[in-house]
Amino acid sequence: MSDTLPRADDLEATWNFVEPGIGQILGRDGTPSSTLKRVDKVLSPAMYMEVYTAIYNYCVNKSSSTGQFNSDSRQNQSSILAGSEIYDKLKAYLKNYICGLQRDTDESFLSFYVRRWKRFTVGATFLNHAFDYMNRYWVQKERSDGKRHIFDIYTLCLMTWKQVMFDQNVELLVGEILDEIKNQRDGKLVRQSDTSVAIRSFVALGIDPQDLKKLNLNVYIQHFERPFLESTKAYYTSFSENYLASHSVTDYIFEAQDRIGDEETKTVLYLDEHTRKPLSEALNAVLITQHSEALQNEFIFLLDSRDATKIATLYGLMQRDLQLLPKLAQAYEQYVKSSGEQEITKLVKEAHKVEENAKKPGSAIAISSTEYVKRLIQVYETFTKITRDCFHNDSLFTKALDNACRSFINVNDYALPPGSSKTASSRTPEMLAKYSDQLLKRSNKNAESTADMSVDDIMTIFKFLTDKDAFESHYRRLFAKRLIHGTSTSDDDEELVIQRLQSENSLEYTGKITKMFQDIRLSKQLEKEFESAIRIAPDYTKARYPDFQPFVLAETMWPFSYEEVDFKLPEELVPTYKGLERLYTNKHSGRVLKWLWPLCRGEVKADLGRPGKPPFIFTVTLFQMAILLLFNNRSVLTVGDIQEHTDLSVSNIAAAVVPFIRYKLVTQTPSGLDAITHPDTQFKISTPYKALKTRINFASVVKGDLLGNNKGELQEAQKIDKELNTERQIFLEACVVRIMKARRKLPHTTLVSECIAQSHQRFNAKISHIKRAIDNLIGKEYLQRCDDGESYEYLA
Amino acid sequence: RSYLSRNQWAMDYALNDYYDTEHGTFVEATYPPELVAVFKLNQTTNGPWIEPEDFVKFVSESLHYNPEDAAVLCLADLLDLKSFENSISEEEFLSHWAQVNCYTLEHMRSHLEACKEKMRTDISYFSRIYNSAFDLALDRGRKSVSINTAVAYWELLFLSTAHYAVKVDPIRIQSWIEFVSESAVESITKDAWQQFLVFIIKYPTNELLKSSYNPMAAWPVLIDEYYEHLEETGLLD
Repeated sequence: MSDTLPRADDLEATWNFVEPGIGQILGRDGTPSSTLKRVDKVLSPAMYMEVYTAIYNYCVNKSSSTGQFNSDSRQNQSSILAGSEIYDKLKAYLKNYICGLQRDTDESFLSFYVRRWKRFTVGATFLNHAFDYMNRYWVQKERSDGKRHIFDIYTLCLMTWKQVMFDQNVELLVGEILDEIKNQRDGKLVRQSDTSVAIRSFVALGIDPQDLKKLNLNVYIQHFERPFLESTKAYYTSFSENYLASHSVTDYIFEAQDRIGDEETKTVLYLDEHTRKPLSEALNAVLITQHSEALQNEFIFLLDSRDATKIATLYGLMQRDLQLLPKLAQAYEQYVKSSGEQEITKLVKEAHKVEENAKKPGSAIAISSTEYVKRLIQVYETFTKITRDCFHNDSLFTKALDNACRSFINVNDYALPPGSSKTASSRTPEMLAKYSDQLLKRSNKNAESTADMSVDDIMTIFKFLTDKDAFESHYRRLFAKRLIHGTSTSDDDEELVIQRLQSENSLEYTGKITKMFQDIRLSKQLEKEFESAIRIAPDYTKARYPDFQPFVLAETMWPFSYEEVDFKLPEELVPTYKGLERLYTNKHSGRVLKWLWPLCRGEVKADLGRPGKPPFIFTVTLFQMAILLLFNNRSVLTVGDIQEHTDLSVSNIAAAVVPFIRYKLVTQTPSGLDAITHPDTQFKISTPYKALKTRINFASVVKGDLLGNNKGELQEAQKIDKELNTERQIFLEACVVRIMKARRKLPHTTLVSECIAQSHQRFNAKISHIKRAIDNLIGKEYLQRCDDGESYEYLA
Repeated sequence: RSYLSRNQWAMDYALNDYYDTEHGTFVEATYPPELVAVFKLNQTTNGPWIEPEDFVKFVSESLHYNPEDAAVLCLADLLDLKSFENSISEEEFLSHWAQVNCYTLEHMRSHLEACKEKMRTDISYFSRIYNSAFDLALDRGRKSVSINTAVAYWELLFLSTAHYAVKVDPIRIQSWIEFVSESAVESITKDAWQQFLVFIIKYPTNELLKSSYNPMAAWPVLIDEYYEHLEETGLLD
């Protein structure tokens, strides 16, 4: 076969020999679009071999003619020349070839381009193989010599294509591609493959002359991506405007979501990876950011409708532009806050209405704590759900929810009625404490209503309270009552709540409550000890030592303040009293027992009914008991008599007797509230006493001050407030001292912010309170103002 | 100058030399007889010192000042008197007067007049007098001054016809005095006393007060409350 080959050193001959082969490989112009299969057919292996051999011979001959020994590239002049000559020829041929490509008359440029490009790249691949030898030696050497304009044959093909075909027609081509994409967006059927191939050609044509292996997207970016993004923007700008003009924002939200989804799954398929991000950004900008205001306004309506899917979709959209989220979260916070407030306002209004219907104007509006807390919980739960379902607990939104809840839970029309003074504190802690009391108190009528109450609710609201110390104070008060009166549902329940509070806040926070609990347990122990002690006492009789349940309570822990009360214990109880005091002082020497007479209660068996009936059992306060016991000896008593025997003050007697009168156990002459305090007023016990029940509780009706029913309660609230404030002031001063002791010298603002940080677990420290604490400490010479007037120094 | 040349113009040595010689002579030197005579005339009958009552007598009878004159504050400052309840020793009296070269009552009076003049022009001197006034007015064992005393001093220092270096609108002082007298506060702490001067120097006008007063800043609560009071009563407009 070699004799048919041209002479190796004859350039013209060699070229003439290989040219038809090259033509075959590339596919002659005018031949209908060829496929890979056809190339195989047209180009016989023999022919291919020949072309390869001819070029091989040509190159080898030239290099050997100068001597193999000097294979040093620099001296290998002729080889270079020879290589370059055939290289140039090929280059010219390619140029010529591409120029000669004609498109069919009815063919769009795009399909022409695509058809040719496909054929051409296939050809180029084969050509590359055919010139493989040259690629491997000559081209490589040239390039390593720094001749960057020499490429391997495949690249040469592409470069030429770019130069001749692409650069001339790029605008036309891109225009057609964009039209195609637009058609597709408009929902028309298009042949995606053409677009796809064309776009890929942009990528392939990006060649970095310096480093052939490096993928270079400059052609793609410059010629295609930019116009593409621009047209995308333009398309969707007009699209979204038109759409919004004829549809609601809600529809738009879904449409936009679909559109973006489509673009990101479908369009991206025939784009280079590189465009994915800019495309998303462009879509975000046009479809979302430009309409962010409308979307945000819609957000409020969607929240109103509580439509989870819509909200979630909107969130999905807004999430795409991170800068929009904070705004949205802010709107959300505002919304939650106002809906919480509205809910309570509604509740207050309802209460007003009820009040008006009952025709009791003027009295303070009463809202049941259960109702109040339930409403708060409702709002909280609604929005927690939305936050979870729609915002996937996005941290921004969780925070917004927290802030909003904190706000409306602590400040609303009920907790802080409009127009109340700046220093007033929220009533929510009090309401929550009452709510927990409802939950934990054993009572028949509450059996149903507590069914839907739970400790979790308490904890939910508790978390958001700013004045946690106020809650503690109210809670302790009610807790004390439950403990003393034994009205807790169960110790376990109580303990559960305490534990939850402790883990939510701190050991210190529940310290007093826990201590109270302990006191009760110790008291029970004491009761048993006492019982066994008196049983062995020589003078023991059941009558002498009635059943007795002492509570020994640590004074500062309990919300009961000891008051000196004039009272003479009835003789019947004296042995018990002495016995316990002896036992206790023996056990703990040095401890002082103070008796809180007004809080004592007892049960009295009264044989007052008609003969044969079982005796009544009265639950009474100690004072009432003392009075009733007097009736054992006589059936008529005057106020003066009672005073003489019990040493009680007139107001205490009055308070004790009123329930008796109300339940007609005692008749008063002359009657009337005013007469009760008169020493000559007489009380007569009714025998036989008629009542439906055999158990009557007189104690629960006793009011501290019966002349002003509500005033007592109000005073108590004020007292709590005052105690709370003093406690806070002390806490803050301690706080300041602690901080200053550690830091020695601090500027005012730092000190204040550290104080706030340290106290926020218990309450929201007001700056004026902190400043007062600082003032006091300067006065006490713990601190000293520095010369700059704005920082303080700790004085040891 | 002679000290400088004696010590080859070395400042440190010259100063040392000066204090060694001059101060030494100063201490040992007997005071001018006229000054000693002034002291002897005013000292208490119990010994060589001036007790509070004698001090008042010295002020009113020898120097012919009203005891409520601002000059008394200057005098106390000059004699380094910490409280009007303290006595002044002979040494204190003589050395302080000798330092300002006053030997006769006439000298003293004119010096005090000069001091009062200084209060009119020298803010830092005025501030010193203002701050020392609190301690002077303090009753022994107390840490704060009663409202009445404080008000008297504020009137003396800010409302007198003398127009001292710190110039305030008399309305501001009036409203402050009114506010303090009506408030539940029983006495003025040293901190409040001192900060009040800072306050009025910093905010001489209503506009400034309105635009830049910050209740979050380190002002004592009393001043915060005063500001609030002004706001509520509309006195700022």
